[in-house]
Amino acid sequence: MSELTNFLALVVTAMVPYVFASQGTMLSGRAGVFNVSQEGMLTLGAAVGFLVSLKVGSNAAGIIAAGLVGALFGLVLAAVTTYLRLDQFVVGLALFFLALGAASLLYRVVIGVTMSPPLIPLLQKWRIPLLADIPVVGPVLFHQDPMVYLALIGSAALWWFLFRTDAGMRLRSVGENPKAADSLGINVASTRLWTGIVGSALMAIAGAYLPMVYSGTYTDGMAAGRGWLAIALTFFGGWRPQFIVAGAAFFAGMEVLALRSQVAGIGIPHQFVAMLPYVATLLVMIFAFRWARVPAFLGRNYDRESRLVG
Amino acid sequence: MTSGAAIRYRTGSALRALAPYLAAIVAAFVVAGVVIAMLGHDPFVAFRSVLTTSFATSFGLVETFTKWVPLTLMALAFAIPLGAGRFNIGGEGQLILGATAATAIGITLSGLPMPLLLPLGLIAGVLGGGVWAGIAAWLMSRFHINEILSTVLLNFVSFQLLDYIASQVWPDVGAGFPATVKVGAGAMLPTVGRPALHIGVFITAAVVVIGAILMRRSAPGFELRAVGINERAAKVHGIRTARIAVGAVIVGGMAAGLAGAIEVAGVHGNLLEGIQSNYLLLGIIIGLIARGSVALVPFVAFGISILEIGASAMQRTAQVPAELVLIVEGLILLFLLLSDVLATRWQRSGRKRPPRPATARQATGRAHAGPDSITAMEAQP
Amino acid sequence: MVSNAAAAGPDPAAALRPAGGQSPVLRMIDIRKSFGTVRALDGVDFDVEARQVHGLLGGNGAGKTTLMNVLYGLYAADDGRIEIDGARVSIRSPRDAIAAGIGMVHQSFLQVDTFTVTENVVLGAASGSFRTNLAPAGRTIAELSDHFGLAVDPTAVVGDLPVGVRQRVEILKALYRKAKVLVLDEPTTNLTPQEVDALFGSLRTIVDEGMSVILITHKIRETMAACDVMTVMRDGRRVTTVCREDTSPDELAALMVGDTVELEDDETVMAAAMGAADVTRTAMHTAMHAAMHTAPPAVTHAVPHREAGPAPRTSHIRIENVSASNDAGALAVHDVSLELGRGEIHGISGVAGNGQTELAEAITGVRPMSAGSMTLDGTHLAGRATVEWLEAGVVYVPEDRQRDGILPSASIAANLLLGGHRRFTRFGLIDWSRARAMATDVISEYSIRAPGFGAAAGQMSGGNIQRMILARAFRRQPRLLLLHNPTRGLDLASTQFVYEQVRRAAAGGCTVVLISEDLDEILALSQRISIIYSGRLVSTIDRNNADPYQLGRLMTGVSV
Repeated sequence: MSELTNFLALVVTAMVPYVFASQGTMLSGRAGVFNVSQEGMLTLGAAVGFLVSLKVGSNAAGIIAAGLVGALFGLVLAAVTTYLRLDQFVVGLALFFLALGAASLLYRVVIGVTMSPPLIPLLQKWRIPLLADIPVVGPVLFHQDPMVYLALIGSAALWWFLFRTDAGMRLRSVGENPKAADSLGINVASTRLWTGIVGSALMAIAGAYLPMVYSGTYTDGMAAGRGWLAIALTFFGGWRPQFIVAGAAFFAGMEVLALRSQVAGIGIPHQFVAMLPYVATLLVMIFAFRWARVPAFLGRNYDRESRLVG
Repeated sequence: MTSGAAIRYRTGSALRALAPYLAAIVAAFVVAGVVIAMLGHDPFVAFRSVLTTSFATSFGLVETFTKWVPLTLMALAFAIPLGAGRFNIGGEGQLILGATAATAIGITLSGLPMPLLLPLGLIAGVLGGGVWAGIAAWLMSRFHINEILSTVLLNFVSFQLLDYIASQVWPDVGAGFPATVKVGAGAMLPTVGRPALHIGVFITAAVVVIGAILMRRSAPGFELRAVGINERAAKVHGIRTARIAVGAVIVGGMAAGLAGAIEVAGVHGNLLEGIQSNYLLLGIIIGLIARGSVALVPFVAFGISILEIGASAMQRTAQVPAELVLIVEGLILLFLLLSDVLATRWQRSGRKRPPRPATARQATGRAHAGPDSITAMEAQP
Repeated sequence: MVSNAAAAGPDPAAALRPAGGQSPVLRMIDIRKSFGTVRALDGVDFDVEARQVHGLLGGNGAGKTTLMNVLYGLYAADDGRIEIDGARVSIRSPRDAIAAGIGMVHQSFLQVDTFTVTENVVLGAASGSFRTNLAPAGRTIAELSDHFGLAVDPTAVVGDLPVGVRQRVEILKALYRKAKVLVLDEPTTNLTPQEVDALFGSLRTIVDEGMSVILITHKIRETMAACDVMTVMRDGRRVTTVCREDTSPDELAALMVGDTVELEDDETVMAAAMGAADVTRTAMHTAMHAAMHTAPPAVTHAVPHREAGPAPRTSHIRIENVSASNDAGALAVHDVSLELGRGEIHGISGVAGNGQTELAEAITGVRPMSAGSMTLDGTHLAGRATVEWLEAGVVYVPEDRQRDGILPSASIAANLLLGGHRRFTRFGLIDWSRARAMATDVISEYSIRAPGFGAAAGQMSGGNIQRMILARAFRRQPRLLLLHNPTRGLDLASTQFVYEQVRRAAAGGCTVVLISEDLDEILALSQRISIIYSGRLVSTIDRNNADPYQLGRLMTGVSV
């Protein structure tokens, strides 16, 4: 495998957590729920994904369990912001702490303190017949683990759902003008609930992927800012699934570049190369924030009987 | 209103203000107790060590106050920008930059005498934190980049910067992990008493008192809170909102920078990996539990310090993992938010009857208590 | 006939009922609704017959919109029942209301700005397939639009459409859902007289097709022009229901205002409420009276402002070639020039969204001018910080009180300080005891109904909030006072209060610029009237020569 192919294949793998977390942010944001607990969801997802995979002996079980735990957090966020109209940022931060604490605690309770942490097997790569033999494109796109395929196909499905179906149109209207949606009989509360739940589940799944492709185990802080970067990516991707995938490639590219030049040693201190993804994101946001068309009701709570709104 | 009624009103409102806190703390401990019991430990043994360790020995008390310093300053780093409606999640980076600046002064000028070197180090720390926050503030005002994201991303940059300085610039090769050599003796904070308590505690107390007075009474403090409550109205009424917001974020960064400088000058004596501990999270939790009120921050911070010091004791005596405490703190915050909403709902349903004047006033005062609302301030003597 | 349906006299709606004893299309019985301690609806009965335009008339706060929001499922009633075609229905959400055949056009349009007309219309309606297919819906909408004379392009993005068209999109939404009863909430607020006529024509077609229309309004002229039957509401109660033939504007006005409310100057207020031009004219003389002695000489002909007669003798504010951009960066105010005399009340009238907000903000120092200049008694203000404008005596009472006017969670005292807070400092710190004393004075002087200076401003009613904002404005002793829609959403007493204060300020030498979408208000207060159309002042007219229809043509750019 050539150096370039190898690099691109790594980038595609590194994209997966960004795609899942960012599509989750986008989905609930499209219904007006802005979840800022990504970093916590990723961390908790990683812990749950690792522990369940270890105990059950199946990575799939780990991913599903992580999704369920994420869904539970999403339910709490969506419910207290929708029904009790608590501030979304504050609740998101509170859930972020809870998730970090829960992740650490679970690991400590199940594994304890040990010098040689147990490992889970990494995800197997699936070879797509014929397509995998295409030069460069084959090994990069068609010889990957199943989560890569799920991320890409899921993103396409999400785009189709949001922009080509009635249900998707209704969902988008809730994030743009919930009062209008409500006046047309669209159930604003249930839309916010289910997108909040699915969104958080996707973030936790993004986290569960980390121990399954990189380390084989869980460590505190292994999300390494990917959750926050995913929020930035959502703006960068203009709150549209297709551009989020493109943006994820850029973010993943930065990550892999930083990692590889660290190993290769290119003359400048590796710490400065490791800063690259974060600095690049800051620079990119200068343009992305001007460009992004944010859902009009993002981060706000809807009160049907409020006499002040509209 | 007669003075008697006024006094009754004040005690009444104090009780009303405390009730949600008590309810939230009790609820969080109940949940934690259930979790501890499910893990097969005795919740009462655990709680006893969590709550009493700080007061059992003078060593515990000094440890608690030592922890209180960075927690209070980091909570200010979050709460002051929050007053202006800005979320500073970059306290970690600002603390690291403050610690780095203080260390740089302490190492490079290590020969200077204490009366010169110590203030220089602390000032460098404050400026370091301010500059780091200033980057985010500049991106916010110049390019409208969400400050939550920019401050967080700068945290990750600062970790690499710390690693570089501790392992390349002034490395202490014998440490076994990234750490710099020690600063000069003149850069260290004097201590009082035995066990020793560094005087950063008094510096922090002074910062809090001055900060609270300025927030409540000064014109810029008024403007800051006006921006936080309604930025558009503030702008229409002649307040330079962009300047206020930028200033609030930078002042927050300065508080975090001071925390970093004091950690170096009072605790570690050098810059080392992990110096930021989990102070960012705790600072945010404290700031939110205090509802952004600078005057409340030191008290909440003290409570959280007790929990944090008690956590490790709990792990020793009751074998309950210390990580549980972070969950307890998160739950206190969540339950506090919930109890606010419930209290407002009860008041609303209670108000269907024609209210007496005094209760009506309490109701209006409490119902909208946002972060450090001017109402809350006005209601106090 | 059910006895409780006619609490106030015989039921005239029954007289119009087709023979055969059919029940009304809609029947609301004993509806009750409270918000906190405020009883918004106190046992209201309301019947609507088929093929009728039924006016729901009342002042602000009478409960008209609340009643209709209950009907549409936006508010949950505390008590009462609703019958459609004689059968009881349970309406818990708009979904139920739509299913029951109710359509509602809200005062603020409930539309998704980024969607097209078709998308907005079909949104939420069952299409029968999961995949979106907008083509057949688009055709249906085009047909409906043609049939009812609505002239709407189904493929346009609604965010780009003018107000009048957006309102017709709302009507299309109801028609598309085959509503039996169409409710319109103050539909004429932002329309020109011509558009109002067209709207009433469409409503006539709609009832001729067998539907019923409920028209919520506080303007008597409109009910007389468009309605077959009208129900008058006051203080959350139905006062009476009358046929158009059996009543007169004067009687309706008396019913609306009631006997219990004492008004010192009710002629003006009534005139504004009635919107009858001839009545307004009388009221206008009263209005002018207060400020007359300082008023500038009248400009006698309707002429574009560039040629507009001689400048007022005591010219005091000079606005020259001012341009300004909106928040999106597009030029919203073009080359506006005005000269204003001391004590003049100058009305600026226009259809909403023609640059009024940008103009207001540009000439009060809130929004930077992209070109032009402004002087106040020779002092140049353009390009200075907002705070310097404030210090020069320019005071702005913004249209959106909640958004731009107050700190909702802050105390009344803090709100009264806002803007002038630096004057209340001692040794660099704000002197709160002086501020509280000032607030106590203001609360009694301006009859603000509040528990005390420490109460949160956002908890007060709209009328009291506006009183507080005006108190703050007048305490600054302004030299230029700019008011934008100052009485929107206020009850009659507060409206009257605002008019009085404005006249008093003008009599004291303050120049007042009144930007309002309420033509009757402009006619009632102003001495000269400028018309704003797409960011330009297209004409400046003396009040005495103003004709509502001519103003309407100018407001829509039909004639310049």
